[in-house]
Amino acid sequence: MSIKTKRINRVFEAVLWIFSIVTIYPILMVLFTSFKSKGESSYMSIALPSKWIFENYKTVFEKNFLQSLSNSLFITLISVVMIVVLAAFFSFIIVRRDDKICRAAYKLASLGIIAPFAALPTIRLLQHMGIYGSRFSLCLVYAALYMPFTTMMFTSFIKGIPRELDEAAVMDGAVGLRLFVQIILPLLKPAIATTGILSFMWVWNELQIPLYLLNSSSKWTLPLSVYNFYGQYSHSWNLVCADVVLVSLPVILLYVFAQKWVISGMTSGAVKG
Amino acid sequence: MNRKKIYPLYLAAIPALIFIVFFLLPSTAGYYYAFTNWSAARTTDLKFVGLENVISVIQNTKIPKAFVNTLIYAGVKTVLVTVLGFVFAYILNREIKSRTALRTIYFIPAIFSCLVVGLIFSAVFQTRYGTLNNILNVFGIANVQWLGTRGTAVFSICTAEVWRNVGYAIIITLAGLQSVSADYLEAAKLDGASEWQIFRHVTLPLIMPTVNVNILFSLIYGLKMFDLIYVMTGGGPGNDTESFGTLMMNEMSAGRYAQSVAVNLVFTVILVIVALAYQKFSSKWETVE
Amino acid sequence: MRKRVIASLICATMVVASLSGCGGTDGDSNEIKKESKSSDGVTISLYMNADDLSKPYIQRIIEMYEESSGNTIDQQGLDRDNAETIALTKFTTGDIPDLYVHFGNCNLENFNPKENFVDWSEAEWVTDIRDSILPQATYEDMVVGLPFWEASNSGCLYNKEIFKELGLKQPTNQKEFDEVCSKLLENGIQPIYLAAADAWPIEYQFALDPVIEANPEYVDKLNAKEMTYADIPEFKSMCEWFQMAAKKGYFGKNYASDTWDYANEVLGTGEAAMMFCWDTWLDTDYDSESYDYAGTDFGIMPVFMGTCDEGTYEGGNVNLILANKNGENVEAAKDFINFCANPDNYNKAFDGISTAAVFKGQTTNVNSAQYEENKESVDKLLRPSCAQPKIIGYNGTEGGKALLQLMSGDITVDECIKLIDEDRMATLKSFSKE
Repeated sequence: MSIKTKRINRVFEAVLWIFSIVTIYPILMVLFTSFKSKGESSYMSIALPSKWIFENYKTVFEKNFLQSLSNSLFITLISVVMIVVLAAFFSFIIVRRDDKICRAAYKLASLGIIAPFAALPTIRLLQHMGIYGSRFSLCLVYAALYMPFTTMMFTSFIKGIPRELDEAAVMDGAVGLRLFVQIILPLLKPAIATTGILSFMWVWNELQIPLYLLNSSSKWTLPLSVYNFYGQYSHSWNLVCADVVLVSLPVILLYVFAQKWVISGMTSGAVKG
Repeated sequence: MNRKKIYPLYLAAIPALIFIVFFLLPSTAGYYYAFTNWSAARTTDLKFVGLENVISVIQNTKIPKAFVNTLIYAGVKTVLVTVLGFVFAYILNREIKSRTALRTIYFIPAIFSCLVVGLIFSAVFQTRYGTLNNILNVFGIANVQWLGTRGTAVFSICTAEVWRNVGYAIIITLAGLQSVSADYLEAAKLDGASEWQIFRHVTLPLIMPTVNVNILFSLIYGLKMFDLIYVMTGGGPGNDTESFGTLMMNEMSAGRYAQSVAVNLVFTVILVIVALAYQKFSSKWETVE
Repeated sequence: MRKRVIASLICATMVVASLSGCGGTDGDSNEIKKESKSSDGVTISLYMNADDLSKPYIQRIIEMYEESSGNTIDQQGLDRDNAETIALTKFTTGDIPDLYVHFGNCNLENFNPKENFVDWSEAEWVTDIRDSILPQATYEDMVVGLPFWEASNSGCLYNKEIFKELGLKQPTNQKEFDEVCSKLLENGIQPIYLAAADAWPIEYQFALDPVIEANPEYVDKLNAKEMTYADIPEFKSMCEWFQMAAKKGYFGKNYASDTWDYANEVLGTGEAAMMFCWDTWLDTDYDSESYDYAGTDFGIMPVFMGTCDEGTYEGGNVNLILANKNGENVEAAKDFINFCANPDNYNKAFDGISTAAVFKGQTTNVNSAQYEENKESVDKLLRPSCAQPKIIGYNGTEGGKALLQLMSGDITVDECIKLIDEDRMATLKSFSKE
């Protein structure tokens, strides 16, 4: 790297840190509020708590925390794997095959980010299939719900992979699934990490859909059982913030982890342009 | 070997099936209710009422304002989120020492739910004790009712929405930038291209598809926006910040379910037109590049 | 390679799991454990608005019941904004809980009470319900559920200290009230904190209660589409009062952006002297320690909104616990309700809770200081809430939005009435039976 580039990078770094106040300030607001008493937190402010109340976290923790955490993990994991794997296959065929059916399928999928979730027909359908109320049925709905976006992501990435790579592999006798796994998948790492983290976040944070589709609080997910319990309008913003911090932490950790994974994937030289 | 054998359709069959059965069918079936007399007071023995609800939606006096607001939200959001997301992602993709920390900080807003973002920005834009007015007071400027008049309230909501969504755009663009093959960049450098030339002729065309994802994504979710508005202003003052999404919620919470679906139906038609038009436009653009 | 991808994803989640203090237990094993644990008792499902569910006396009674009966209550708190929609969706699909808690207004009809809920008309505890509350628990001719809730008195809270300093007395009619507001203004104090940005805190139902009490036939006529709000002269005078009050500055300068969350701050620092509110708010939400004025510095007086010269208070609305009569656990559900209705139990649950009594045998609840001080006036002018529960299509939020537009000068009084009425008619139309 030239000295000039280094200098530019340093300037950029400084600018980004200055700009980050816009982000850090509100984050601190949430963090401080999570340690305040109920009275002090009647509205959000940057003021330091007059007394640090760590019990807020304990209160949040006590509400069936472990069970809803394991529900959350179960539901999120299965959903994310399904979303990513299914959308990757789907996009691969759509982009590469590129015939009439596939173009129509792509249009249909992109309409999927427009159409809303319809609770009543979905419940009726699941009841009809005899799986209403189970956690797995929720995963299936999530997989279907977030597939459109993930498909959009993957198709845009696969379009960027030169077809010549496929052709070389086909010469070696790799078709279908093998072609996908050997050639396309390694190049999709950044896309997989990104869609993985995004869908993880969406499924993890979803508040409304589980309320409709699960029929027992023993299956409830973390945000539902913790945060919903205090209600959005009972004005215990201190507890709401403590909960936000707790629920967000896993996502942040996962994000850091996924970022490292993407970068290491890139430098290990998977790309043979 | 022909394409049909190399890319067998069965690989796409299961994903397509799940998508159609668990999402497309119920969602489409849901629209049927727009043509019935479904309401909180009547959930069984529904009658078909034809276009009655759709017509009442089109005649609703709140629609014009909501329509304009929706366009403003979506437009401002799309432009700012895409541009800011791209600029930040481009910088964060450079070899900067503290980039892991910076990437995480810039991503955190995307994790917060709309409720929390709404709470934060309600506090920032609050009239009496809000952060922004406190800062303005230091410079001798009197309190502004940010959420109390239409123009400033729409501006405030847009700010909050952009704040929350730049994180998404950054990580999507980052993924795009990272899949730009290092070999292309090396080759361009060896040819003596300047950084600007590399950016203009190598990087930009290669990540255009990702930028398109960002644009379409911001556009559609910008048009669908409602929960942040709900938390920050509830569509008020009066109906000044209402969007299609909040109108739908209002109908729903008043128990007028069929009307709520009808608003949604009208809205979906508009969205489909916008999305298809954009795709046509962007596919040309991608092939030109 | 695919395996590696999946393995990495699983791995990532495991890391997260272990960091959050849990070894990534499989969800299913948990469920089995839970079910086997409750095998000696029944699990009774309960749907309730999440905010309401978190009330201390509800939690107390559930805990007491679980301990004494060995049964488990599966508490499903529904998101407040959509609680009724979610419940109704579930009822429509036949997924009806054993117990359901509803606010007992005219929307209860949507849940088909005759077919779905246990009839309690013959229950012993019916005679123990206070006469002012019983009508709220009655649907047509059946007692449909147990009123188990806090009851508050709504009126106009005012800062006694500020009133004393300025030599102001509690007003007894509209004219005196308006004079008090002007005096406060002259002294640089905002008379009323009105969180108009949230729309519902405008609480215009207070103005309508006395009107409907004096003319009970209005409700039937409104619900039969034979009458509109424009036909009610008092409705117009209410709108005119709000318009005048805003113009004179009774609500300060910032009412269009004032929200409920800041009521604590504005009242506590003495920036504003009054607010339309319920008395128990001072006990449950107001933070006496953080501000110049403590909760006991506030008193309650009647609301004057241009419709009723003597002023008015509004009585509390109560939540009803309803039992699903077709459910598998109907006996256990009935058992729970009878348990709640037992004087020993409800007195334990409501011990020290600030509320007016719902049961005749209720002794442990604490009346609010504001009520005790001003008992005579409250008892004399207290009216049951009627506009909100009885007028089909009454909408506090939409109405509040229209009134705000009126106050800001965007629309005229007639336009405002028309706007509120159009919204009511739309709901009425979509609810009509034919």
